[in-house]
Amino acid sequence: MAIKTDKAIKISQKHLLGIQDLSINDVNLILDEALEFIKINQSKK
Amino acid sequence: MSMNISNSAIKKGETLIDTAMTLNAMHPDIIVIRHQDSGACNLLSQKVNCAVLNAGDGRREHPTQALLDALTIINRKKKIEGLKIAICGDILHSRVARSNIYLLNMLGAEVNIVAPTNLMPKEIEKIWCKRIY
Repeated sequence: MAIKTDKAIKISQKHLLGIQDLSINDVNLILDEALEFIKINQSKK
Repeated sequence: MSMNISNSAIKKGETLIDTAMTLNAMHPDIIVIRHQDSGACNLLSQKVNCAVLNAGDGRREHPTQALLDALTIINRKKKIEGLKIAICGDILHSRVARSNIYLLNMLGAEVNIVAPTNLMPKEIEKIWCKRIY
């Protein structure tokens, strides 16, 4: 079985349990990555 | 794998920790949990090895929805910093409102809460936002 080690994005927390646990850098990273995924998704239409 | 509580062993008396241990034995990469009890996600995260994503727990938080709401605002308004945003309705029972208040404040918006007195959390002024009755 293949062992996956890459993560889509790396934030400071292992879990996403609440917004208060996230740093502003984590939030910006998640939102920027989400915008990239939207572009990729729309380019395939 | 999607697991509905009505089809799970929780109906037969299994505890959340039992369920967590069973799921953990399957070595998942991520568990996404939506639960009626506040703190259920925190409890689960302490019992499993994988990452846990909170998709809504009780009245506490709904961070994934708040992130989606922020993304929608960015798509429409191009930014969040400096926006004046009003959240209206039943704030007391809304985990989404609570997460939105935290996130939008963090991103530099001015958050205004509009609710009747009986639907306004007492601690609302501790998290930075203006209240309007």
